[in-house]
Amino acid sequence: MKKRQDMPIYMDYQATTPVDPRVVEKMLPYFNELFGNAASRTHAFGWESEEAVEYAREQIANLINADAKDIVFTSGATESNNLALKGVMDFYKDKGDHLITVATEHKCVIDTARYLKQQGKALTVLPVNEDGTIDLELLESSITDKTIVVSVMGVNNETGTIQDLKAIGEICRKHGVFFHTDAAQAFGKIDLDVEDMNIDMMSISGHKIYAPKGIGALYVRRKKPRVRLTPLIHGGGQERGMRSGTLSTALIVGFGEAARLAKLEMHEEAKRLNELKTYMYDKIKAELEEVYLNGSLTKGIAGNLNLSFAHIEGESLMMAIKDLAVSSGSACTSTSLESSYVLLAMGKGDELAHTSIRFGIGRFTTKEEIDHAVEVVIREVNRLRELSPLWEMFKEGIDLSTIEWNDEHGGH
Amino acid sequence: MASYLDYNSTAPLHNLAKQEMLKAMDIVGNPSSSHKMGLQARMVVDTARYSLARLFDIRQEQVIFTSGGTESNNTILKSFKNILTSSLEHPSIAENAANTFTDLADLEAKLKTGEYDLVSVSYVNSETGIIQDVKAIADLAKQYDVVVHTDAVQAWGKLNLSFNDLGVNLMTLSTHKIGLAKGVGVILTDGKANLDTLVNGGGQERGRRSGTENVQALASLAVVEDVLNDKKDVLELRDYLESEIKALNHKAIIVGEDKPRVTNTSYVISPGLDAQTQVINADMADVCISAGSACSSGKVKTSAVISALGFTDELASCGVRLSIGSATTKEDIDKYLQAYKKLVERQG
Repeated sequence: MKKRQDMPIYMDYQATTPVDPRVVEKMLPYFNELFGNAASRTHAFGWESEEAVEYAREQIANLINADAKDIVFTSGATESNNLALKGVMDFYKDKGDHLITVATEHKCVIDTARYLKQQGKALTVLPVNEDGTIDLELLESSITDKTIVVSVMGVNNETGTIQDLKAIGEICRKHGVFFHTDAAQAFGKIDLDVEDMNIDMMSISGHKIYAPKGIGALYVRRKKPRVRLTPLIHGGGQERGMRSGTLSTALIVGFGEAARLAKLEMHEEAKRLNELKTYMYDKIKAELEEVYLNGSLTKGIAGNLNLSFAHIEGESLMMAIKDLAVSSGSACTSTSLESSYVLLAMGKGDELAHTSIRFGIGRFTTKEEIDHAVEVVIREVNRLRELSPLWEMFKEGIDLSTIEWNDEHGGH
Repeated sequence: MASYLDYNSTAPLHNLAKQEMLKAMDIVGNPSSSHKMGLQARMVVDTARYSLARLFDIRQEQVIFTSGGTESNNTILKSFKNILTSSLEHPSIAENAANTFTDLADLEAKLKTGEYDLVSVSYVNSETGIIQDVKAIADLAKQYDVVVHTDAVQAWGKLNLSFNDLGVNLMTLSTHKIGLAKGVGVILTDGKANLDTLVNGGGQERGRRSGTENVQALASLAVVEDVLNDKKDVLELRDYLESEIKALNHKAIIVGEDKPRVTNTSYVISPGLDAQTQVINADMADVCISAGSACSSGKVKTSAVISALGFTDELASCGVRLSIGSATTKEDIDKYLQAYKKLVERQG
């Protein structure tokens, strides 16, 4: 990717990724040459589309050690999460009414869980440890004979925390409950194996792995155990009846190619991104005090560095580092200025949660860009702190948490 | 190059739309991100919405994007309890509704019971091209204060489509049927009906449909007016096709011939020639046709719509759909007619 002069450096790879040119290349013929409807079984245009769709399905299945038949295409991970949770909770409504999820899940899982609660289902939301992982004993003790599904994300979108999916899967299998994981941030980034990890449903997104937006998938296990779900979208009966609607062949072809590339390159890529992340973290820590890592360097994903800069205003910092396209919190909520619920759940105070910045490092990030980002961050944090009365008080040794602010109930 | 006579299943992507999509491949951000790259992506989504609002002379907040016509229909129909629909519906409607009406008198009798909260009718039937009198249905339903929805997926680009004049509260559209990208559906709403959220999450589309927007596919909507203006009238070709078929096979029936129809669709029943044979015969001659709506064309079963029009199962099993579009040529039609002629002659 060429850096355009008027554009910031892209460091928001968790919100979305650029489309890899190699992916676009594969999509091209499926725009207006091989344009058929994959459901048209009566002619060559339809067959060629179907063949392309099935090839893509295999690439996606390969990446998670699944059977291609178990991959259901959707419009994206949000729809997949909705389909998985609403789908099983409805289908198995005579068997039970309880679902378990985690406080730091993506907004679409939290929202769907809340919706189900409104519909009368029982909901347990597990807390997380300071590094963002869940307490496995607490998970196990939360499972009841009414529990249908446990939904735990693979990698957190804000902090990059990786959950122990294998251990969670074991617990779920032992108690005979379904295990769903939102793998939007994990797929194509870390090793996933639906057999080894006992995963029954997995939500996947295309645009987080350098494919276009508008395409995703839900892995739905067909055997041992067979997972059944009530569809969200009825109609022509595409995707084993679980998801009707004309398949978007070009997008699916792009998605499949992105998965194929990820399988080939993800380990090497993770190694490079991890080096860049550690380099960036070390540089910033060496120059700035009162910087806190949200998540864990060892348990976190390679491309995500989430830092809080104490004693400055989060909004001011965002404005000051405009030359970097970063996010404070997940994209879906970043246009609003409330503190990140993920960081609050990890026990970060409101102040640190409020000054958090997520630096996303990805396939097209260069060392030069990291150097530039480090320089901008150090310069602007220092500048803002010089202007900040909070910083001054901190330097004078005043414990800020003991101060009673006059406007505590106003403002914000 | 094969001759493609299956436009109602999907249309080839218009070159202008392709160019817009390719440009959008270079757009990096997520429309929900507040930085410059996010704003760039947001611009694509806003432009798509603006283009549709302008086209239909409605406000931008009346446009809701989904993943396709099927999702739009599901979102709408699942928001209501007792739904009345016609017998000429796509599976995405039929699967979600239990009760049908036959004509306006029957509709009125059913509306009078006060049991129904939605009337949903397709504007143009995908298999036969028959146009339903949606305006009359909407006028009637309004008298009884019942919400009216029309699935206009097969009408868009084939007739003069006006959301405001039709008088419906809700309308479904799909972009890939008019030569824009696959993967985008639209709900047009007058705001009167409350829709439930089918997909919860980040709160995109004013909380009405969550999920990161389909930026690259939405980009194709920027040229919607140009693409529609570029559509060629295909009536003459269609009439030629039908008259030749009847000349070759005097037993052939054009379904809905005496009814108002769009100009690109012919549903032809050739008694004694089962649909599968006709489809294979066409394929051998490198012509793409369909035995019915693409969603169910994988399964060889008789069309519910054709049966509803009063044809026996035996006749319905001998029907194929020929649907043409802007790029269809007389040569394409002749290629099909030649193949059809051989089949009819073989039948004796």
